[in-house]
Amino acid sequence: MNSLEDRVRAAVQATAAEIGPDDVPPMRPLGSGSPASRRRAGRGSGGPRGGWQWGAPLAAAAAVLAVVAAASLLAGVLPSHVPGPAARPSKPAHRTHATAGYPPDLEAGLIGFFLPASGAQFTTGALFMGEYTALEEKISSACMAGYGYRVPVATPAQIARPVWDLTQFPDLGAIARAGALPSYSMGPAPKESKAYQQAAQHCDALSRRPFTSMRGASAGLVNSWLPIVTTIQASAPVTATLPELRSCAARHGWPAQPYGAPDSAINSFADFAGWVAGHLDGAESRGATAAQLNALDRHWGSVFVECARPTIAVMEKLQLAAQQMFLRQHRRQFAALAATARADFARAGRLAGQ
Amino acid sequence: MHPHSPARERDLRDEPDAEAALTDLYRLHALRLIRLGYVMLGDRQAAEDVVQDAFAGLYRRWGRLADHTKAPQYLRSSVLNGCRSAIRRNRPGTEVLDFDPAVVSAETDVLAGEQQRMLMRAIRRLPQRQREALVLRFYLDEPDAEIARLMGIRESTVRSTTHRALAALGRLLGEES
Repeated sequence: MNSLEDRVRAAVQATAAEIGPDDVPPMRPLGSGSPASRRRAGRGSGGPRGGWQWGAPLAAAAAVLAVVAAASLLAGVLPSHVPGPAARPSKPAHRTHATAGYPPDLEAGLIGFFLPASGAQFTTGALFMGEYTALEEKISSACMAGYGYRVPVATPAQIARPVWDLTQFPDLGAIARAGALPSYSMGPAPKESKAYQQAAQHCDALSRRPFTSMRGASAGLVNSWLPIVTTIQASAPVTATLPELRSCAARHGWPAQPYGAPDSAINSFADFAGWVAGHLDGAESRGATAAQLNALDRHWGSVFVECARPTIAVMEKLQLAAQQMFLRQHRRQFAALAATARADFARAGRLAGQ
Repeated sequence: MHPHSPARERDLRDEPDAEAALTDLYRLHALRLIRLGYVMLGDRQAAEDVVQDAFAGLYRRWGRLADHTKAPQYLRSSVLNGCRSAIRRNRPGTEVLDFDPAVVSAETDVLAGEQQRMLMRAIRRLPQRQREALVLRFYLDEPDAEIARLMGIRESTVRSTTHRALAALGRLLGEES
């Protein structure tokens, strides 16, 4: 085996073989619409351009439920190496989080994060997630300092930026203001030693504890809200807008057979959003330059807003109305979730040294 | 009702055999797909994530899939798309994505040897399209026509991309291809 081709073949085959049959995890529950890549509090390792599908809180809540029992055994027990104030990162905390304890409009954040009915609410929910994830990061950063690593803490806005959902809750206003579809803009993953990764694993687990109750308390509500949204988005008033969406998309360059198949027309809003996202994501692998990618983002950003508007208007009107009724019907559960969230924010704030 | 209307899709997706079919597909294909993602991304967790996403996506589209025997091809395309997105997210403006040493067990490390790891590191330094062409040819053993379909490029471009990838790899390794 001397040729480079032979060695490449051997290397990729051997690398692939590092994953054994026993390493295959069980299939996650179908239909949750949850890109798994949000497992780390939705930050930094997101799904495809379609963004963070709204089912993520559902999956997160379900996953948390499974570990609640184990986590409760450890709750409040900080390991001895967690540093005191002297070992915290030298970077000063952002005053907005340091003083608030929890986001000023906690209810709006909870609704946007767990029970969104519009793109604007989804954006609010993303910022809410940014708030609590920033606290988690502070806790984790303090823990990492105890291991001798300095880990910067992102702001809520930085954390929220890559969180969106073009398919179910596109924020057309935000896209129009930005003039382009959202995309990730993160630096290359840093090189991390094995020791660093072990420390990070421990500190990440530690930092996730304070919000375990909030995530767990949301599961029932999210599970009840999901089918309502799904039903609305496939309902007759929404599908009645599709012919207009199709003609708008065709007018702006939508290919007659986007996947090379005669039956690949736009049969749902998700088809449209999915193709636009895939078209842009695929452009790079087809060799597009950065300038071409930016131009594509801008072009399809404006097309997306223009063509999606009629469908989204109908969708959001129905969803917002349904949401009002849902919140009335689940007033007590939502109040309990809000109380839990407040307690979690207070606990996290204490752990983060605020 | 149009056979591909959303309502039709929902009807089919709700059928119990959709979940059963997906479960079977997962049992049959998950390992190979995760391996594909792992070779592409060098990160076991990320590979599992793109595969899980691919199955979730197939479930959502199950009712619209005219030919269910094509499901494995759909899954493979989805995994590749997921890998492209992950690569794009993780390294804008750079083509470097180092092999993650943490995912290699000590035992595997010894078995695989330094040469193999150097080669994988070099492969992951290649531009995404070149890397993809190499993985599809040398891991999946796909013919040019199928690679062209998966990458959305012409067959002749597959051949030139592979040639350039091997040449670049040779340069990275300090040898002639």
